[in-house]
Amino acid sequence: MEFEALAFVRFCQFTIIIPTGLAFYRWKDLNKTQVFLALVVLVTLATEVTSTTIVALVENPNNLPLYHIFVVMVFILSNRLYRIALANFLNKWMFDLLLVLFCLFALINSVFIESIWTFNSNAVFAAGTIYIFYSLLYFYTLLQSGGQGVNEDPVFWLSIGLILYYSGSLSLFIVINYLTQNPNESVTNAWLLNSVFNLVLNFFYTVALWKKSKI
Amino acid sequence: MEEVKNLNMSDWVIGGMAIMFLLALGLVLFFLAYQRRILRQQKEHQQKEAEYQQQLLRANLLSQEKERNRIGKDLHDEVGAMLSTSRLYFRHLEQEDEPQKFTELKQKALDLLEETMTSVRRVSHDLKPVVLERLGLVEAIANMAEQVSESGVVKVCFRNHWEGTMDKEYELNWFRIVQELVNNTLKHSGASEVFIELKGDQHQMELDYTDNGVGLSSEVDASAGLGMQNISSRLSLMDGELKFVEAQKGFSIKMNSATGP
Repeated sequence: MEFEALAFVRFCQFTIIIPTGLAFYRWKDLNKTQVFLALVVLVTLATEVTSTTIVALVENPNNLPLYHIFVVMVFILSNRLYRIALANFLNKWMFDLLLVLFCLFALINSVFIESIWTFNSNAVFAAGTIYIFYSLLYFYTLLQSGGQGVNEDPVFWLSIGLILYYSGSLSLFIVINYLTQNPNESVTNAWLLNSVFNLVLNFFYTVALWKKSKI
Repeated sequence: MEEVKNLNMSDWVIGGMAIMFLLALGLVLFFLAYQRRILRQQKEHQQKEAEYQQQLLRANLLSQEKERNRIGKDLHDEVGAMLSTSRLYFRHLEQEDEPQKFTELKQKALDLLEETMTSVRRVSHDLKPVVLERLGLVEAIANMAEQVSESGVVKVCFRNHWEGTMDKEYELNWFRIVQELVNNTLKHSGASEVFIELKGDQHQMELDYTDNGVGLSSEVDASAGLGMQNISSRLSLMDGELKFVEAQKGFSIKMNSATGP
């Protein structure tokens, strides 16, 4: 990847610092769902810092194993978040079951299907699809309840961010292992577009952490 | 060749990413627009509900004033006038020496007092119907139907298929509703027959009222009248409902409510 493109990608990735800083600043005022979101942004930042450090310090670096762990950790936290947000609509045991199934699938995928040294596109695709499902379900529950107070609901803003990011990026994640074997300008453009979507996601993380909801 | 194939796939991927993002964005914007529409409709509905409640309250107050005026007029015109005349007779009695004239005047005074007592009883009965208090709603409606039928103007047929008991306040509300409907029939409809039927059970009661008069020009006019507003008001206090029934001739309405709070 060219230097400017890489710089832009890194910039977009590290905008996660903003919602992380906001999470620390507002820690005492965060509600239950926002606490889980704060942990998501914290894990994301930690992963970005660690992976960047590995790339900087190691010769011929491959930080993809870190991403395998990252995907599972974020899924656990997001699952707990939506377990609270959708408590009146779905039974809690459904979220617990989905969590166990996903973790098992991610483990099997990392060990047997896609090597830990390659991008775990299957797990990311599965997680992304589930996040889109959670978000659409949350929109549905908001409409059922009349949609009042939506603007002050952190999970509403988070759901927008998740739908936009994963809808845009899933098609990249499906074929990423194939594309990275033959990198070219178009692949770089795809990553740049993904970085823009990442920027959008981090923006909605920030808004969701900013909102002062009593839910 | 591999690179060309890869290039095409990358372009497809970028295209796919952009399209999916825009679709998702469209979905989010649609949701926001739909949610705003729902909120606007809810607000309009609440406003209409508030206006309707205010209208009912106004009708209620007007009705109260109208009733007070009527009672005041009855007391002044009938009772007041008769008591004044009675006083005149008693003054004459004082001055009268002839026994025959004395007896005549005494009888006239006593007759007037009797009429006065009847008027007072009638006004008092209008205020608080004794039959309702002592024998209940069914007997009170039956009694009203009998009294109206005896006048010869309208024949009132009353059938009761309701078996249950009712809260006292609800009974009074229903009695007033029937009174209002009968008054409307007598004043405006020119009907010769009225049909009243009670149905229901321990928890719910339904009243069907029909007359063979001129009917109403439209449902809107029906709802707008003071009498109908009072009926609506009383029904809403009991969480009841009313429904106008289309009839070829005359007026027909179905109403129901619970039997207690």
